Amino acid sequence: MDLLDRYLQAVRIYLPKGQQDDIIKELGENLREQIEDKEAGLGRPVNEDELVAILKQHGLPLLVAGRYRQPRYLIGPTLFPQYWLVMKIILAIVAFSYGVAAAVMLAESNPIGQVLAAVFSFAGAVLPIFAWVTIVYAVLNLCNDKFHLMEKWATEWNAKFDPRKLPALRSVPEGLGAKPIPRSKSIFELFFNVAFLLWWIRVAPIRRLALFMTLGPAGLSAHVPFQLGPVWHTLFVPVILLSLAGIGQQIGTLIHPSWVKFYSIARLTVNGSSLILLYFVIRSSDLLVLVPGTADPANFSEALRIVNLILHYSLMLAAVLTVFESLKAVRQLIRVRYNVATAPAL
Amino acid sequence: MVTTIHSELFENLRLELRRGSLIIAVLAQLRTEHYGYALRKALADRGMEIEESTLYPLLRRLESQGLLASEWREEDKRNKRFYRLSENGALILKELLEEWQTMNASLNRIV
Repeated sequence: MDLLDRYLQAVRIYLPKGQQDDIIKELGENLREQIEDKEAGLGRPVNEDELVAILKQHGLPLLVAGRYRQPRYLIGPTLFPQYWLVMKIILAIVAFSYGVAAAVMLAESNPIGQVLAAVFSFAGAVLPIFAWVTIVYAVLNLCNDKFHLMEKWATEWNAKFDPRKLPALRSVPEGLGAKPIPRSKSIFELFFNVAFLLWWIRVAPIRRLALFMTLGPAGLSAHVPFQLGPVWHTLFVPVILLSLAGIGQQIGTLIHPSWVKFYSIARLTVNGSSLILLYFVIRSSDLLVLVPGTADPANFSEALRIVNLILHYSLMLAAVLTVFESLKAVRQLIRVRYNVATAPAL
Repeated sequence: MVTTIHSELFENLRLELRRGSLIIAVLAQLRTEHYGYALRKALADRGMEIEESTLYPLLRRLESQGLLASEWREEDKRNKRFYRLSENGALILKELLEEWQTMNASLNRIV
């Protein structure tokens, strides 16, 4: 019976502390009874293989002991969906920040080793956040188990719940869930994007119009004393590529307004890249500089400072608006997923 | 692969279906006093096979819920823990049996 005692000893390790003796005593008696039953059937004592077979049939000590415990959760099924949603949001935000940071580091020509080290520090940054969120939800779960908070709230909410106050049904267009992108919006954006591209590649009439809009009638003068600063020359090709990507997205959206997922993903990509370019531009103090050879430059220095200041704040505003636009795209993506997931199957 | 998924699915559904029935069977069988191993044999003799590692913890859970009562007693020169249905357990069993019969009748009308 050495094997039986060893088996019982192995089970005991995993049992709840206060019940170990009692459970092992009962389990031991039941197993002995089973073995004796077998021996009575065989007409002889069981051999080691037969005893092993009985114990194996009874199960792994860890699993056997586990069945004596109440199921326990760090975060139970009631809170888990919320917990998981919070985790995913945090992961997305941190991953996006690290992605932007890595892109900026690469663009600043930092050594690749440094960039990789920064990217790998992602896990180091995320794990403590995950740990804290898990701890908070584990405590909430504990409180919920102890005081049945969710059940109480659910009873209260259920009493107050009136299905007539539920939001009206959202119209779900065919194919995808979220609202289609209005064509007027696509046309408007396409017009300005093309105009910007023409200005950027120095198509003369567009450039004159832009100068008029920026500097007023003085912009039409043949002797505008300002020109774009060096930072713009560095970004010449990336801006063209970005503008073309934007035009591609706008044409796609114009033809297929219900391609909301395509719109949101393309928008997020273009906006993310725009933010990186804006970061470099905003960091530069000389957005506009005096045209070389301008007579009496001291006369224009104050005007140049003011124009640069206005441009600087305009670009910062553009960055903020781009972030808002990106958040809207994220929301649209979530809606697409939500609506696709919840739309009735046809 | 498909057969494996099918049999796994069936096994899960079968276990779900059995879970409630096992409790009724155990409570009903314990209208007469039994110790763990004897109860398992009695159930098996009536066609309700149940693993020891499932039955013994279940007995403790039902006891902690007040549906069973138990006592250690010597029988055949051996100390055994005998379980029997408590008063509260008898009431619950009656209600469960009624519920089971209603459900069974409904199912018979459906399938």
